[in-house]
Amino acid sequence: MSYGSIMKRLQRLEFPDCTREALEFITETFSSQEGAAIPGLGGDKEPILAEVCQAFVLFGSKRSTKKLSALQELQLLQLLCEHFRTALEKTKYQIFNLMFGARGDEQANTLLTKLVSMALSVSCTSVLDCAAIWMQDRNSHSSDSLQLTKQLVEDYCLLFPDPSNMFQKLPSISPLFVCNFTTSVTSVFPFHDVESIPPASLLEHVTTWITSDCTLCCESVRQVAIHGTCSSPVPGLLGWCVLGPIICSHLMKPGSSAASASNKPHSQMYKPSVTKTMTTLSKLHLGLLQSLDFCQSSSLSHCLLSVTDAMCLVKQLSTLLDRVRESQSDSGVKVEEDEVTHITLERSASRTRKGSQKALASQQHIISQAAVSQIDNFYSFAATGI
Amino acid sequence: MYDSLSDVDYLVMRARQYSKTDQYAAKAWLITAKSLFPTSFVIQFESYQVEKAGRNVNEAAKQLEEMFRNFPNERQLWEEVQNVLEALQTDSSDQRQTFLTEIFAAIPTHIQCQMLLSVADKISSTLEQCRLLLLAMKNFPNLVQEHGLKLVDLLIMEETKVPGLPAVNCYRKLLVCDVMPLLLNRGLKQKLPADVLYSWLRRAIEFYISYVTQPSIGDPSSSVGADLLSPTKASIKRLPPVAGLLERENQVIDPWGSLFNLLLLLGHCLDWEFEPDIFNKSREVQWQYIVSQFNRAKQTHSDGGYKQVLHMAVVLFIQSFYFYVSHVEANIAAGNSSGGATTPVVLIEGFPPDMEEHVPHPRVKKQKTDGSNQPPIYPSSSISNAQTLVSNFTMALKCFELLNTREELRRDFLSLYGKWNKETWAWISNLQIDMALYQGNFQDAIAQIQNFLDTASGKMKVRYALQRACCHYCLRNYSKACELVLDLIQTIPENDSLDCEDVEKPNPTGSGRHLLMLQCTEKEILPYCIQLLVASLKERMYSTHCSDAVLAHLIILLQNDWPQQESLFLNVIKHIQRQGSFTYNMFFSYVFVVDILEEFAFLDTAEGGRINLDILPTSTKTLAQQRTVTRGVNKGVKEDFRAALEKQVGRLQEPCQRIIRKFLREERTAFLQNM
Repeated sequence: MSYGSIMKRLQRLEFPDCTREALEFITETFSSQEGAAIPGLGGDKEPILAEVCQAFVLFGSKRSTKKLSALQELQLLQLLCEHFRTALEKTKYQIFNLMFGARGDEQANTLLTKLVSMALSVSCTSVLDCAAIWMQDRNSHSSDSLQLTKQLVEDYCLLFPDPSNMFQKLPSISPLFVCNFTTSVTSVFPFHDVESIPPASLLEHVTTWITSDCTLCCESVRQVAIHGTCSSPVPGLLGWCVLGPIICSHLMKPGSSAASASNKPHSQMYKPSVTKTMTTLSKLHLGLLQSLDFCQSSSLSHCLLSVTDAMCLVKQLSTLLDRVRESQSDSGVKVEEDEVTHITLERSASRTRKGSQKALASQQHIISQAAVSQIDNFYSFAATGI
Repeated sequence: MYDSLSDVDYLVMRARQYSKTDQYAAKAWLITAKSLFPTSFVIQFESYQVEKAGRNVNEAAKQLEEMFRNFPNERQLWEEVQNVLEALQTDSSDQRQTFLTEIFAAIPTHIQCQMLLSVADKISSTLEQCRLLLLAMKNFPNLVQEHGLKLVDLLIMEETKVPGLPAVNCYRKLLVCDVMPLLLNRGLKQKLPADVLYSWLRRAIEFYISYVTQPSIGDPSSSVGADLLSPTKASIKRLPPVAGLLERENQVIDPWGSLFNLLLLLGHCLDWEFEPDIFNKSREVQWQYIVSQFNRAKQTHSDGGYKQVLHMAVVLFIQSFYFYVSHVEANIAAGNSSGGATTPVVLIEGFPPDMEEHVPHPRVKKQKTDGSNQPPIYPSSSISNAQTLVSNFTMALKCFELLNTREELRRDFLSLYGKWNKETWAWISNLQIDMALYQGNFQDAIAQIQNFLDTASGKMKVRYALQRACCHYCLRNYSKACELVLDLIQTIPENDSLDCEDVEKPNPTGSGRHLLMLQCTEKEILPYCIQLLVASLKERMYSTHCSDAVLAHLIILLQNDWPQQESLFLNVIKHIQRQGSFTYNMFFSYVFVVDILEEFAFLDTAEGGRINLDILPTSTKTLAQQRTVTRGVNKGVKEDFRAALEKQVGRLQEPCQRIIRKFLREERTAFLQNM
């Protein structure tokens, strides 16, 4: 079928039919040229497909006369979910990429966010898997990913603060999505100051995920062979576990909230919720350790947490401690961050050297006697993961 | 070294600090510690403890498994594994125990198996080792192949280590009740030689027979009540626990069922032919089966065939005799401590119905072995399961006969029999008394009873006395028989309201020998005793040693259930008429039945033969001497006699039972003298 004829044919059709036809055409084309061309650089049909997709799926083409109503848009999302559910495994991402692969396409991204949100609510594994790969392709910390993540957090954690059922069972629907979403979430809410504390229900969800399945953290890493890049949620979560308790205990101290007055809604924490956050963080910490422990044997374990990540964290830690000490000169938190840095680096650099383990243990002994409870978590990561 | 040790301790200490306040932190510390000191048992054990405290079954199981793999030599680990295994063996509802069992269940099967075997290997107590091996095999049937026979040997060896150990011991119990069924039911693939299987079978038979014939433990407070409530008093017999076993192991549920089952299993290995469900068939069918197997063995001269008959017959013999003895001699079964609370059943010779012509005394003859002309047994209707009792008795008898008389079986039977313990022997002797009596070997029966005379008490004493009297009677040793019966009657308390009406008397048909089966109650025994006395007197009457006293005593006793034996009475009258005279001065003290008094009045008349009767309390002769010898002297005497007769009729209301008992009491010496 030539370009002209397909466009004509589609233009004659009304909304749901034209999109359905268009999707069928795209799918057919992809499956027929299987193996013939590298996706993206594909044969001569690539532009045609992009055009069709723009006009009849995304409705973003300038030539497109059709504008969708809200209801129709919902219909479109349903159609897409259904289409991905039934599409062949190998063509799924090709189609997804065709639709949302272009960077910086605001309209496509908006549609993607809506689609993923919809997929979450209807437990559509195919769409979530594709979205996860999409995030991994453009790095979970990229602005596109963060935008998607923010919207999802908004939809599922902030709009209804009660634990969402859909979210809860996400690991069984798309583990890879959970992994990349978590990575992205730690980037949106790095927890290194009062402004970036993750919403309570989000923290709850992430903790439940991580503790319920210690393989979740390596989902993205396992895809490395296929997709070339990966970003693991470990450094981000590590940041939560190390920095979180310091911030929380800082918040608990009388008068400290004044020092870091903020107008962000989720940073207005009061004592009971802080205590709860502490407990949750402790649980997350354990889950993370178990995950690391579990992944230790894997050959890809080095991808989970790099030396750079650790160094970065140390830097954040020392900045945070500096600030804490500034705001509270009489603080009982006597952190010997130099030691921390030292140990972390040593651990990171020579994770195989037995000797260092002993060194670490005895040093830890000394430091811990200074009662730096917040730092404990960090140590344990140093010992296990790195 | 010191440094590392203290580091470990420090880490554990940190974890413990958190164990109350923050489970997650505690576990996190331990993970850290473990990654720092992967070879430290202390840390690993602590993690296990933390998981246990948190009641996380799967995690605890994982830790235990890991320890088992990585620290196979730690004492603390072994103690814990032993705790777990111990919990596994107890079916307690204790929360801690069930939790340990759950942990074990969460461990992968092959590790469970290794745990059991290696603990069994390490343990020093053989009994404990056997238990664990047994547990292992129960849970992992594929271990039976490797360890089954080893365990059998171990148990047998351990048993023989202690000389003089009774057949009911802990090793034997595990062997017979647990290991053998397990081995034979599944797993054991190789074919065992026949002699091994026979030795197993012997051990099993010996165990079960000794087990069921053990004296039960006395529990006087409860046993009486329980006996009254339960119709099957023998089945609730409380047996003493087997020494060395735990309480839960001490229950031998359904010993007979287990023995039969084992016999079937072993028989199957030995290629025996079984009739399906043979052990639930009637005794008759079982006996037919044994006979047919025996005949077949005889035809083929097969040693295996004889062995099969031997073992089947032995097992059926002990079961039927156990059933019989435990019901018949309730005192033994319920334990001697319960005294006379239960009523034994007594088997005794019945008397032939009185004929017009005197029938010769039942001859003491050597009984033939084939069962066709065995005398019938008439049980009293008051015995509830009488037919079962009788069929079990005859079954036991037939089996015993077969085993004892056939040369092919006798030697093996005796060697089996010889190993049974003395309690079992007591049971068998009890059976042998009844068997001898039944077969007419009264001399043997008396000899057997002799063994029990000193130890018997209560109702059992009555039983033995009655059987002895009966035997002496049958041996024509009447005075001894009567003496025993008189002694026995003395012990029976007098009871005015005693009426024999509601006890239906067994009604023997046919003229041959028969036996009675009575309950040892006064109601049933007293009539029998009197009947025995009557029968003895009757024998006397027909003999050359007849005297007027014998006739008088007979008449007095015949009043007992008048007019049951009127024909005998008429014989006595004929006898008196033949003699022409009759002297018995105690006549009016004991004779009160109108019919009899009339008969005597008649004797006095011309039609009656004008018998010279001297039955007034004061002899007519003396009276005659006192009076002046004038005409009409006889007239006065005659009048006295008439008056006495009339007066006697007036005495009628006095209870017959009492008069007869008074007679037996007061005239005992005279009675015995005339025997």
